[in-house]
Amino acid sequence: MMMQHSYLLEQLLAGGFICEVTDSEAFRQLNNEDTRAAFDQYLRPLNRRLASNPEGSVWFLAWRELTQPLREQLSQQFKDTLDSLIPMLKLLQLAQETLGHENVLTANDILNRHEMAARIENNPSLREQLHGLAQTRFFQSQSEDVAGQLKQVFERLRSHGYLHQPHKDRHHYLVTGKIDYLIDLTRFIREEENIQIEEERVPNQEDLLA
Amino acid sequence: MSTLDYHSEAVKQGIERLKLLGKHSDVLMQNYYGVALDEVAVGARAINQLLDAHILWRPDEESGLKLSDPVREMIVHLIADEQRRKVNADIADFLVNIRRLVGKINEAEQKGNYQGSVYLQTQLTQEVDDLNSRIATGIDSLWNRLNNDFAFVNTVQEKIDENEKAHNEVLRWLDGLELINFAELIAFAGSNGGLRHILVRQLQGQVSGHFSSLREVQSRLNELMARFRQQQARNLLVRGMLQFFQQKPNFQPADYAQRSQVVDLLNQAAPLQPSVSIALDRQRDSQDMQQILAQLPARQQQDADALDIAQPVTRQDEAMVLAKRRALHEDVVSFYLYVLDQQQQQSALEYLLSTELSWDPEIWLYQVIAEFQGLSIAEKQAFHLQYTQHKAGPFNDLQIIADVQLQVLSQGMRA
Repeated sequence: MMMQHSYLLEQLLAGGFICEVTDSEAFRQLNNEDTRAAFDQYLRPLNRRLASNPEGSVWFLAWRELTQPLREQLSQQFKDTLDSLIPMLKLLQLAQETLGHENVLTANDILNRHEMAARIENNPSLREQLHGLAQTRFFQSQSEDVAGQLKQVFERLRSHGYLHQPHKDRHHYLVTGKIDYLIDLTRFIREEENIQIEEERVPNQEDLLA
Repeated sequence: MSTLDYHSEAVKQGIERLKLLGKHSDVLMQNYYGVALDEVAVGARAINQLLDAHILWRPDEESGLKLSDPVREMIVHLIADEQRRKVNADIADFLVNIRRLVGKINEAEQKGNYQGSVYLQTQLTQEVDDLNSRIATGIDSLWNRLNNDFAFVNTVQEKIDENEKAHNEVLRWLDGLELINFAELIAFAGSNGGLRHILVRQLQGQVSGHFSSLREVQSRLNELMARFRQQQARNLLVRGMLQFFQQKPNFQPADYAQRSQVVDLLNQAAPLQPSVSIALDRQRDSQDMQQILAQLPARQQQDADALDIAQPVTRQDEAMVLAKRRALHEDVVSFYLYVLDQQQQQSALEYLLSTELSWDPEIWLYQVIAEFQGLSIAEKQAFHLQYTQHKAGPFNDLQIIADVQLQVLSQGMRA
């Protein structure tokens, strides 16, 4: 039974996030409750099980039983994610502004690196935003020019599983479901910490004075 | 207006079709008031033109030609036909009209006025078609808005507003359709075949079609609304959280992983790289393993040696290399001094052998040549360096230096 899923299992065990964009066939299989039960059964001796974000748009492996060392690992992991959170949110905003989208990037959106570079190149404000972003610890680009910075940013996004590149030699990238995961995590933090978000789009005078 | 191209196809067609309306205005107005169109009298060619121009349409095979909805609408506006406008606007009014017409038809038939009944039935058909095309147009318009995700407005909020409007429209239509009571219509039709055809077979079929269309539109609207709301929430979240982090750069959330219940979002198992290795304890595989092992290419001894030699070199530190280089330099200088003392030609390699220095001959020669090249012009003139060299091969003019002879010159003359 598990033989046919060996590739998917490897992906999951290696810490991969499986969504419709990264592997539609695997995602379809994971949507089947019986398949998931079989996976969980198989993963039991490894103290792992399948888990997903609340909407079930992305699957990954979670610990079955938590021990103190594992909790430490999760704490560290959460810290790492937090370090990447602000650069990632800024990136989402930059992409939205660059592409003139009315919505934040979401799974299945297509990004063309060259097109984005050209647009950023022609806009000083976007250029500055990218420059700031490229120098963060998360993206770490040494490059001085827009194309080089964006290349590094895309490479980091790809290696972290936020982007999927269907063809190695082309500049089209697909946004994966891991973005949903990041947004869900952000929402979780907001709710847990009871962070108030202004509904107002434009800050009012009082805010500006404060 | 000057930019309008009077010769463009669209303009030509528009003019042609407006003329068509004028040419057949009599027949069309009669049809508006419910007079069946005499296709033979109008002529097949004109009928085809009117059909092509969407001025007339044929609801089904059996019924006659009808004015299309936009044309009827236009006439309503042109003559400010309040009566009809109302009928078109509201299904309740439509039902009142139907009841009135059915009453008249039954009355006419009881009196034996069959001609009058036929005329009234045509009117009734017209009413039903009216309603039908009105609903169909409304549903079409809803689908259009749905299919392009309300792309005619920009912001998500506007889309949500538009979606709500569309939703109310659907509800109005559904409420209206609920008013049509088929039990009542069946009773109206009674044994009258014509009425039964119009009110039951035709209308009921159409209305149930509209019902399912509207339900479909409704569920799609709900789906879209959920998506819009989700997008709006995401936009707000990203913007709001960034703003928050900027205001509170030192913000640290709680350590959620230490809680008794850890949510899945934060419970991400550490990566495990799956690897395979040979199970040496499986006796039944030993035959296969031996075969695989036998097929492995033998590792070349040379490679192992190269590795052994390479390693110490890489470990040498800067100071060692410098010291060695200096020693080499000093030995070569000694060689030059020796030649100066001897005042005769001396082979560099023979000197190396006789002094039992441990330098590699090639490095030694290289250093002797380099030292000569490094002399000042005046000093250079005191020596002559002669290369003992030969061609690399019969067809290769590369000169390989086998040895060098150093000689001291007195007053720039060779000995």
